[in-house]
Formats: sequence, structure tokens, C-alpha cells
Amino acid sequence: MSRAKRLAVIGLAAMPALALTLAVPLANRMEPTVGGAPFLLLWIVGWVVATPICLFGISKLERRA
Amino acid sequence: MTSAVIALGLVAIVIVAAVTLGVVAARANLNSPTDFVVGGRALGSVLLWLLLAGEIYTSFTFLGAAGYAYGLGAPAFYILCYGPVAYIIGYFLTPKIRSVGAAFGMITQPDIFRARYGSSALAGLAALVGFFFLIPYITLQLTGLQLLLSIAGYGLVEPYVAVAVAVALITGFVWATGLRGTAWASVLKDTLVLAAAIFAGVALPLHAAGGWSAMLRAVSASHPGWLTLAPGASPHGVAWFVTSVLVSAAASSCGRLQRRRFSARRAAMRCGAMRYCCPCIVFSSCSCSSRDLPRC
Repeated sequence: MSRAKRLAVIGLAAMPALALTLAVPLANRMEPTVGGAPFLLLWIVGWVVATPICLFGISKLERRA
Repeated sequence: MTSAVIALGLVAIVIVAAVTLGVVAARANLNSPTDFVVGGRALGSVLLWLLLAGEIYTSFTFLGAAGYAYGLGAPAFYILCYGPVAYIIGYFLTPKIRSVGAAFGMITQPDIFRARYGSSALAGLAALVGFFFLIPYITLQLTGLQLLLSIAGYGLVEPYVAVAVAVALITGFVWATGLRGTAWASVLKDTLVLAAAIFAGVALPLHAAGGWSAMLRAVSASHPGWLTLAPGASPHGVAWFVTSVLVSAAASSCGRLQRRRFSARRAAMRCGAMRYCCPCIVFSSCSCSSRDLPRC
């Protein structure tokens, strides 16, 4: 696997993992809300949905490598 | 009385359907411990996916998580967070465990320790640690089961009797059908759990508040601060949240796979070839049977 691809894989794996752990304090607020849902909930649900997409991207990259 | 009969009748129908499904699915091949414990290492993607999904939908999904959200508010969001993080770790870890497991014929977690470190004592220790630390988990699940059954029975059935019957059924089922039967029972269970979760997630807010937005607005109006985390190191605050997600994700990616503890332990007992009564079978079972997972 090329260096660029390896970095892309690490990035795609690290992004949702960091977003749902260390970055949570930064997202811990009420505003902006969408349909009454606090930003914290939107952030978390958004990343829950994004995680399989990131993993799918990784599997594509690895398959081509 | 009639409500209790209807509710318990439904429970009985689901149990009979799940058992039938499992027995029919497993009847074909239970010739070796490998077939029994790790489904002959040949579970396809869909069945494996359902088995893994079955690991996260437990009585905690309905009772624990809902009660946590009701009692604490935003801290319950951690339940959403740790799953994805665990799966990211699992994505990289699981195929490796699977291929090592297949190469060395491992079927339990202690097998890994014995093969890697060449120490049967260490493997025994791993089995013991796995065994004892799953006891609280079993207790938790049985408490949930007991609650569900006593509510479904409208107090008609003695909770201890209900839970004893359930334990006997679960043990007997796994004893008879192995991992493959459990996986097929998960097909039914997960379908029902998902249907119930979607129903509850849509119907309850509609019924109670007139919709999701209205419910969330009503909650934030009546309980300001309820939908965000308390700052810093306060109880159930941000620091608690982040550490809980990290610990749960780490435990899940290695330990969640040990979940079917109870059943799995019995399965181990049945297989004479297995040296350790390891409650962690599902760890390797999930991983070792994951034929179709992407390789790293």
C-alpha cells in the first residue's frame, strides 16, 4: 500500500474515532438545534452514520491496494 | 389475567419460533467442536453480521439504555458513541484474529494465549478471568430478563420461576444447536428488536408529545441542560463521558465478543475436546467464523 493510501486509511479510521471520543467536549452544546435536537445529539448521530461510510472507504482503498 | 395470558402467549410463540429456527438451521452439521463453537468457521457475511448485531441488542437495549436516558439525559448518548469506536477497532483486529484462529485451529480465547505465549497456565488464567468477570454481566442480563418476564406476565408468574425457566431454555438451546443455531435465532430476535425499537422510537414521542421535535423541545424546556453534558469532572460530565466511551469501546472490541458467555460456557462443556470452560468463545467464534470479512 502506498504511503498516501496508508495515510488515507489512518485518517478515515481516526476521524470518527476521535469525533466520538476526544472531540465530544467541543460538541457539547445545545445550539444550533435542528428540529429541537441539541447539537451534541446531532454531532453524535451524524458520526454514528458516518462511521460505516468511513469503514467502507477504507475497505475500498485496501481492496485496490 | 387475559392480558397476561396474551402477553405470555406471545412470548411463548417467539421462543418456540426461535428454537425451531435454530434447531432446523443447526441440525445439519454439528460433528466437531469447531462446527459447534465457531460454526465450522464458515459463517457467511450476512449471518455473521446478524450474530454481531445480536451481541449489541440485549435486554440492556430496552431496559438499561432507556432507563439511563430517562434518568440522566445526555450521558446516555455514550451508548451511541462506543459502538462505532469499537467497530473501527474491530475492523482492523477481527480479520487478523480470524486468520490466526483458523491457522492454529483455535476456538476459544484462551487458545490464543496458549498458542502465543506457549503457556497453559496463562491460558487457564485467561479462562478464569473471562469466567469471573462475566458473572456481573450475566447477573445484569438475567435481571433484565426477569423484569421483562414479570412485566409481560403482569405479575402472574413468579419472577424467580420465570428466570429459572428462561435459563434452562437458553442453556438447553445452545447445548443443542451451537453457534450456528444461536446465529439463526439472532435473525428472528434482531428483526423483532429492530421492529420494536423503531416502533417505540416513532410511536412513543408521537403519543407522548406529538413528535420528535416536540418531545425534544418539551424536554429541554422542562429540564434545561438535560440534553447536554455537565462540564468537566462533574458526575456524568464531559470527562466521565469521554472516558466511558473509551473504556466501553476498548472492552467491546475485545470483550464484547465474549458476550454470549452463558451459553458459550455450556457449549464448551459439551465439547470434550475443549480444555477450558471458557465463557469467551464468542470472542473467537465471531472472529474465527468471519470468513468474509475484509482482510488487512
